[in-house]
Amino acid sequence: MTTTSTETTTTSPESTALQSGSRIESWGADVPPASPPVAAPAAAATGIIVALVLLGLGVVGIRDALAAAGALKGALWTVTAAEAVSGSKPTVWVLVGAVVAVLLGLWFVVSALRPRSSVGLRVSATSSVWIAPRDAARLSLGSATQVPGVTGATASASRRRLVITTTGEATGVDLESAVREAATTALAGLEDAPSVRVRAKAPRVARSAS
Amino acid sequence: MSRRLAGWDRLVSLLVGLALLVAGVGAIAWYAGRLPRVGPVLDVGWLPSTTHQQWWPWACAGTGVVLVLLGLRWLVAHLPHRRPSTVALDGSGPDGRLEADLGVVAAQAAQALAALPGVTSATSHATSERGRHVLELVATMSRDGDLSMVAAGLDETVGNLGRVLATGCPPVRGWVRVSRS
Repeated sequence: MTTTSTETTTTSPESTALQSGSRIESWGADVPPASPPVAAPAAAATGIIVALVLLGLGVVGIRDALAAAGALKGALWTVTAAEAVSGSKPTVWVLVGAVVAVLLGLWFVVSALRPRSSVGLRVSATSSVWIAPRDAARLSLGSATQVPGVTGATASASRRRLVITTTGEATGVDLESAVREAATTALAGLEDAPSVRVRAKAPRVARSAS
Repeated sequence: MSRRLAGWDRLVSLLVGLALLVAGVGAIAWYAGRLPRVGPVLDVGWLPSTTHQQWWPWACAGTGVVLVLLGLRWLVAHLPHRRPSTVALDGSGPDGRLEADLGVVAAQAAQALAALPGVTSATSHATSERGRHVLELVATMSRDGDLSMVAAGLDETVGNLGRVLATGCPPVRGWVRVSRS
């Protein structure tokens, strides 16, 4: 009879390799890349709704059982609902409920079938490195505000498009192209950078009180 | 979120959605008079008579308890949970097992990452995706920083993780965050 002893040893986290910061030749070779980041499936929301509905129906069932046992006052809600359904006629409210049911049904079906959406922009790197569109917008703002003539800027971004709105003394095609070039340079580290669109707004002229 | 939970969400959403569609379209057809078999008055007299049976409260209680437990279980399954765990290292075998605490390794990696040029701060966490451990490193940089420099820092940290954990290294994903100011 052979007895195998299993001993567990936890390595010290203060590993010299992590702390040294030294580059290794074959880095990335042993590290499996993580899959591209994706959002939670749309069906998660509908799943939670179904769970809440089940919970609510369960509470109604328990409440009716307690009411039938005399622990709670009032009629049984399930009996009231059954009597309301029986003998009902096709009123406008039935039509309204039907339309709501169709819309909800479409939402549930679409949510069930919709694939997960990507949530990041891939950064050029050997490992799996990502940046959210919101952070890409902030990065482009840092460059846009460095352009002479720009006093302020805002930016919004999706995975495909980045829109920068600048305010400043100067406007025109030259300024827009300068801001676009600065933003494009800042995002040069992205594998598939979103297209940059620039809107230059002239500053509002304060009206003098007459 | 586990693959199994996502699958259940999709399946139940699809079934409930189809049921709602059928019920809704049926009700519209009834309103429009296109359901001659139903008639102008919904005749489901068996429904209230069923609810007046003696066993009905017991059925309500049993079904209610089951539905409450099922609903709670389903909701709890959706709560985000991170599972810092251990990974087996090279050298494990019949005589013993070498393990590294993934959460502690992740914390040390973040500390090393934060010290690299271009990185203002860094965090990390070990999570579970589709039943697999995944390590996420998050490097924060300033708005006027160099994205390529930060990406190189993440590469370097990931590479060092690979050297430390070797074949035990889980998939690693790096994120670049940009501070607001």
